[in-house]
Amino acid sequence: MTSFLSYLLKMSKSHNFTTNNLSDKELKDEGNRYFGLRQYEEAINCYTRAIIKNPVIPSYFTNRALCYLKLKQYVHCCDDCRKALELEPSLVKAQFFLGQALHEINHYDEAVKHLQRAYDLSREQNLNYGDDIACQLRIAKKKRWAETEEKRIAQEIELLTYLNRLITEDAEKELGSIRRDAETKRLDGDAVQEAVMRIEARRDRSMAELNDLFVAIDERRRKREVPDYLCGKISFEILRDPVITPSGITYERKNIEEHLQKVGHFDPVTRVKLSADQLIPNFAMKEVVDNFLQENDWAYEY
Amino acid sequence: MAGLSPSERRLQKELMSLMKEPPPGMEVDSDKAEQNLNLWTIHMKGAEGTLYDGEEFQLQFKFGPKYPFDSPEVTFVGNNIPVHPHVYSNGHICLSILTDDWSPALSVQSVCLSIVSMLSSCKEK
Repeated sequence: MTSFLSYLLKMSKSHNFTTNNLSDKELKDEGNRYFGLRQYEEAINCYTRAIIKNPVIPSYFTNRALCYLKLKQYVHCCDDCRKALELEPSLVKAQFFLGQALHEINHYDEAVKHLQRAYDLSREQNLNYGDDIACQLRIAKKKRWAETEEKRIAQEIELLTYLNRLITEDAEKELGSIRRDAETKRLDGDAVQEAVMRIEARRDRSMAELNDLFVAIDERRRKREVPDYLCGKISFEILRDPVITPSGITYERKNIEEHLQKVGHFDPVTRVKLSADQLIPNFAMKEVVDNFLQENDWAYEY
Repeated sequence: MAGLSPSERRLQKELMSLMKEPPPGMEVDSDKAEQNLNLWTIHMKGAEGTLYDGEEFQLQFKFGPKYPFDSPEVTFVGNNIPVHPHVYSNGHICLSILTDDWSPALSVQSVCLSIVSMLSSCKEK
């Protein structure tokens, strides 16, 4: 056992010795190799040494950031992304990883900002990230919405409690002064009784009305729904990449393409003959959906 | 909504809208459907003024993972199977939209309405 350990130690020492003479570029390649093997700690070690040798290459930082992201060391990941962005502000990867890490540590507002930036940059630079960035962005927006919604509800409850207390206290004050008057001015018993009942009735009415008001707000919130006309006729979900057919029906591109492939060459609603090359992007609909989503963060789906 | 497949997400939406605004004379067994999203039972009343007025039927919908690109399997179940030239005594329904003429733009609701109207147009049992 000991001999095996010492053997390992020797190996690791000699290994260190051999990598010590590598250039920063070679260290990065070594890091990438470890990354490919999912040995993130070793990869980080290589990138760190590459950075020490040459601290102005942004990709060393983004590569290390991705390792940190994989290891769920989000704060380190953020640091590296920020360093990379100092060196090159329009780096999509750095914005993307930073957005993801911030999302993981529940900084949704900032996460949305960086993911949006990553999304815009990837389009400007014609980089193909598929749906990855857009998907992360949708999740972060929805989470951000849920968080503010929760805060809003908590604030409303606090406000309702506060207002209820004010109403109660106000009524108590009036009742107190009536009772004092009854003693000092020797008011008629029936008149006092009547005044007390009036105050109590007003207090109860005010409280009931206030509660109704808050219930109405709550119900309106629960009724939140995406209108049917913004949804695809196949998925029943909000349109992301809407295309229109010669029949004038709008579908989600992915769904109508799947339909043409699997079901048949016809428009699902009108049953008129249809082929994939007849599909036209429906930019007007896209604009309407984007507008709706901007005003209704809760509608993001993922 | 996270974690559901596209077919389950669509079924979830259809179930919600059927529960909220059921077509006249129809009621989905929502407890059962929520337990198993791929197997629904719908209670259906025969339309007024037709041969089936006053009768009650049960429709069973079975959805495959490719729904809505594949049609659902729809049959009458229970002890009252409608007597109709296009409905076999085992509950099987002969209706083109359930096979060759299926379209993913159809829904549980539109299938139910087609079945009611198929029954309603029958003038003689």
